[in-house]
Amino acid sequence: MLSRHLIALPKKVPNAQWIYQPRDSNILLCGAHQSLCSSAGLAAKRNISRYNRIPLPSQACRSMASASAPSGSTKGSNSSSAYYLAAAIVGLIGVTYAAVPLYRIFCARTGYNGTPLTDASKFTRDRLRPKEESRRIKVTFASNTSDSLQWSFKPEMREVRVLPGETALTFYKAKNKSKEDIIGIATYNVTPLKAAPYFNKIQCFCFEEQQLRAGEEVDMPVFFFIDPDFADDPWMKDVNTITLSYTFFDAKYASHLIQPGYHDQQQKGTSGKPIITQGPSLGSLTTEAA
Amino acid sequence: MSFGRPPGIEAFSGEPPALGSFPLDHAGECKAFMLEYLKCLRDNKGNNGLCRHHSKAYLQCRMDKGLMTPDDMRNLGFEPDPSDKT
Repeated sequence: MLSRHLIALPKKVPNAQWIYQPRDSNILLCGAHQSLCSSAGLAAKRNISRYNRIPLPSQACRSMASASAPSGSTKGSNSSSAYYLAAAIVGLIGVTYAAVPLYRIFCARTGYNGTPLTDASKFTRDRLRPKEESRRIKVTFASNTSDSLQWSFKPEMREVRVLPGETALTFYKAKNKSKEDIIGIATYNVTPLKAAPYFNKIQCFCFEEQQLRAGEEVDMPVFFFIDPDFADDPWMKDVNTITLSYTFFDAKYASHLIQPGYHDQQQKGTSGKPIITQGPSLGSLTTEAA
Repeated sequence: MSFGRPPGIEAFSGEPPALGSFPLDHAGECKAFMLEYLKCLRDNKGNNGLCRHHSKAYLQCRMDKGLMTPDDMRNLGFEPDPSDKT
């Protein structure tokens, strides 16, 4: 601090900080702030006579110091808000990563955006009764293959007219046109999108590896029905055509489409309970065809 | 949704059905039933109601040949024939 050779402090002012005022200006430099104090102190050491030293109560000094320069407490709140901001950024990045599986779960539950529903309780026996009084819905079939898959994949029939609640069978024909065994995986979609929650498939050939030998041709069935509540839904009044489209991919590039545990699901067919076929392993496929 | 993926990775859509998949009929054991069903549909202009007995026969063939888990036809939406013993 300043040497004692400055103006003497009147003794009756308790707990006062020094205020240094340059004699040629009206600026008040508060002695409580270290940097100003040191600079004022240095200047004062060199030119003591240029400053008036005025005692002020310490509270006033502190408020002036905070008005002139950021104090320690404001610095603390800056860093805490920086921590909050960083936490918010990290949290939002985490939400971005979590959004992908959450979206899939949401689609599977609600059938949003054309995702067919797979809730097993929809396949009870009483839902499989045709509603004779409603109109027949035309179900058309479409097929696609990935560019990297050398299969020809076509529906055997272009359309089928079904009643809601009536189970129906359709076939697709796939032929392996290449010179080697290829394993394919299929996915499907249903349009119009609002009709997708009503389209239920009992059994099909999708989401499981299907191996075709070189040059082999095979017929793939799909067993499906339209939920009987379709006839009662006013939103479905204008829906007369539903299109089921399958796309086949090469399993090499689409191995993430295989659902784990799906291959070995099996349940006994008791009344009211759905049945699940056990798909054969690839080893048994070759022996079966032999 | 598929923007920005590596070019070799295929897109994903839909969820698998909870009830499993048909084993492929590599030997064509039930092909005759399939052809009858298709012929019936062509004759009836795609009316599924008139050809359901053919699809029932096809599924029965699959069950007999071990290409499908045997199950009651009623669970598959087919009413049993009055002549069949249940």
